[in-house]
Amino acid sequence: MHNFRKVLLVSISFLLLVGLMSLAIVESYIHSEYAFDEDVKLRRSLAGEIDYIFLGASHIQQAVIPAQVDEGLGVNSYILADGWQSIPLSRTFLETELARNPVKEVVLDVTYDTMVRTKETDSVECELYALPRLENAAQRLAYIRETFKPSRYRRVFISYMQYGSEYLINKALGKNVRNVIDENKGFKDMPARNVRINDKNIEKSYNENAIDNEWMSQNTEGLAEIIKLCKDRDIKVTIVVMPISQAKIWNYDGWDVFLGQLRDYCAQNRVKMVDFNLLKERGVLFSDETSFSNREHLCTEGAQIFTPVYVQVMKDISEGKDVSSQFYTTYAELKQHCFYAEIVSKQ
Amino acid sequence: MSITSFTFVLFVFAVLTVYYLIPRKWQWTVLLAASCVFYLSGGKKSFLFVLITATSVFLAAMWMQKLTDTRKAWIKEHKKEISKEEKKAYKKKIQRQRKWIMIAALVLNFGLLCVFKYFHFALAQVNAVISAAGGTGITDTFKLIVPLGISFYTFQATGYLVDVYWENIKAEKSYPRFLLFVSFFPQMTQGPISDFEQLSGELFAEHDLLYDNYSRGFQRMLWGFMKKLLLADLIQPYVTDVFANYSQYTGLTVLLGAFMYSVQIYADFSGYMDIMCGMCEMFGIHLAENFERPYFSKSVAEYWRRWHITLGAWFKRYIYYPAAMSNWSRKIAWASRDRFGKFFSDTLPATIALVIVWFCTGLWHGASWAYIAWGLVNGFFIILSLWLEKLYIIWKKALHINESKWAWRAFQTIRTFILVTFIKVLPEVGSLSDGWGLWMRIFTEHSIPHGIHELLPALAENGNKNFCIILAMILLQFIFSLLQRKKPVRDYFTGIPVPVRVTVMACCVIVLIVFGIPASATRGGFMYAQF
Repeated sequence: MHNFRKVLLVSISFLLLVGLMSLAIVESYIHSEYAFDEDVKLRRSLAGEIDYIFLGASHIQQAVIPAQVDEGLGVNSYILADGWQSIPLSRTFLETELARNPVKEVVLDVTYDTMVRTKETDSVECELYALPRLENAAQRLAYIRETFKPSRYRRVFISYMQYGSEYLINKALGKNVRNVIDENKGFKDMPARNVRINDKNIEKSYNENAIDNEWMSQNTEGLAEIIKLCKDRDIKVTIVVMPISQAKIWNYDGWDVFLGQLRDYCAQNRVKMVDFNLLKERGVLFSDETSFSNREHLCTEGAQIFTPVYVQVMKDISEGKDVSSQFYTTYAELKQHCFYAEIVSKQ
Repeated sequence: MSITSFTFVLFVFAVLTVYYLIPRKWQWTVLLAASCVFYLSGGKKSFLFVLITATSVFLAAMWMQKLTDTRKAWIKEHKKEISKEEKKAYKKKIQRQRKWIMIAALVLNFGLLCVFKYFHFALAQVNAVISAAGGTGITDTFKLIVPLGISFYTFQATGYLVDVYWENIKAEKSYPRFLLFVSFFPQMTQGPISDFEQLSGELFAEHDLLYDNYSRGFQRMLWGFMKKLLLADLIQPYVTDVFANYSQYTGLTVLLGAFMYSVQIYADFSGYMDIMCGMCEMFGIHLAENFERPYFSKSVAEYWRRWHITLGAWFKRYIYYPAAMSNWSRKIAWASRDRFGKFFSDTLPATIALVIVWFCTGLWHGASWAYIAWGLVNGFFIILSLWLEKLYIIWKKALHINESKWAWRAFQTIRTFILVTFIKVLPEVGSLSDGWGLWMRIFTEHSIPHGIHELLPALAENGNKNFCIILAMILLQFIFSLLQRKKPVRDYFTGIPVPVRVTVMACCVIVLIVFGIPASATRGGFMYAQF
């Protein structure tokens, strides 16, 4: 005689219990500030004060220090960016902040990979970082429905269970479980790492790889929506490209295609654009040995050097000065004057 | 399909649902379909070899059975007409035919096993001989991938074949049923190696979904997952690191690494068995047990009766007894009786059989001299205790040792654990010389480790979390083993009210998700699957 009823009843109760316990762990983590990226509470506390927003992903998150920007430009800035933040996600975050802040200017970082990414190619970190930073359950559900790749559900769930239990254990042990640094206002501190190409490999690594320049329509459309969102509210928009290491630029080909596409796009949408990679002074300002945390991101020391430069350029632009003399016109030109080109010519 | 994956758990519950929803007499077909899906998910080529083994053994057994039936019918029919000699001659003729059929099937199946498992090893030995003679070795260009579970299903199928030959059982007439016996997915990759009579009784019976089976099976499965994911997988980086760099660590660190290896391999293998036996219990099927608290054994021989029980039973039944009772073995014993006495001649056949068994056991575990040495060292200790048995009794009497005292039993248990640990690590470090090097390191390097990082490298690097889980699991395993002396731990658990039980199990699942699954993602499969 089968015991279907009892087996079903106990199994369902068991699954419900496991589900509830998991939910409790995940939710406790999502509502905590255990990871420094989880700045929902901080952003809420700053509501009504932010007038200058940096939007983008990890590049801008590690490139500018809001406190220095605030002092230099006389604004109250915030970095609304995180690792792997996609354009649709940036739009969601921006909408929330525009609704509760008197924003006057939005600086949008478009790096070489911003426009080519899709949810299929994005790393799982995209979801891991994004979900706890969304404002409420409705936003999270919408994100899961629209952007979340189902094959990553398991990995994200397990990671949240890990973080959540770690958070709860540390909390129970009386350890510090708030890792958000209010003063950073979204800036991510990163230590320096020597990313310089070994002298032996410099010649070999020149243009060894190529960047992907196939812009995805969902990104161009998403970017246009962000621009429209700002223009509708009379908010100034500037598109910027944050500095990456010379090693990365030297190693990859196709930068000028990216630059051309971006320039065209900005011209079409009547948006100002500054590519800080093309700074003529970059060789003096940043070094691949001490200014980067990896080939694609500035480290804290690099950000400390870069932020005053950024402030000055933006000031000059707002005052109507011509800043073009401070920049190379193409990446090809930059590569000719790059640190590695000098070494090769000496060799 | 990895056993420790969500996919496998979902697969099991899907099979379970279909299994209990269809008419009982067809339940075994669900298991057959599930076994095919499971094996095919691991590669089509591997399944082809299962089919070759199943088909060849099935046909050979059927043929032998047909000859047996013919013989019986002929004798019955001609009972009154034929003389004893004629009957004997006819029997002999049929038996010879049956023997050749069995030999052909055994050669085919063990041939396949040998080609896949031992070809590279054999070629290396041939090359070594050629090189020693100053010649150029044969280039090994073959890349043979050992089919999943070949050591296990070959043994199970050939055991059945021999049983049919010995007329212990009748040959199975249905090929699909026999295919299920050979390919039953819970036991195909790591055993247990079941005999046909026991397993077929379970597989082809009609089963009701009983809450007790379901609940107890799930509990055992969960405990198996905990052993594998929270103990074996978490210890692995530490053991791997110590074994790979033993020459850089202190003797104490290496010794601890060796003990941890014993814990790891037990947790890994018995964890798998618990998962599979628990799962089968949910299907109403009771698999043969492979472990009986082996680390509580009081001698190496007892340890091997309690560790990988079904493999030991296979060797005993199909190698040890036939070798010990063979005509040539008896002839040697008789020949030595006059010269060396009764004790010698009585013990010699068993000794010869043990040497053969342990050589084969070593070879079965791996194609290397290290595994052969490992097998022979095990055999050496078992043979030694056989020969010194009388001497032990005299010693114990002289030293007034009371065998029933717990202190003596504890001494024997600890001594055996240390001994089997030392034997176990021999093939695991790499080559035989590495195994020897590890032993020497333990005995010759006496410096004291400076802090926990030196004592438990790799483990300490991962922080306190893993260390605490490992300790908790070892403690839990030890307590469970002690409790298990009287009755299964699940019997104690059954006494707890259902809501508490469900909550405890839910907590275990959460612990597994949080600590076990991330660790398993970076580890790989089960250790015994490689054998």
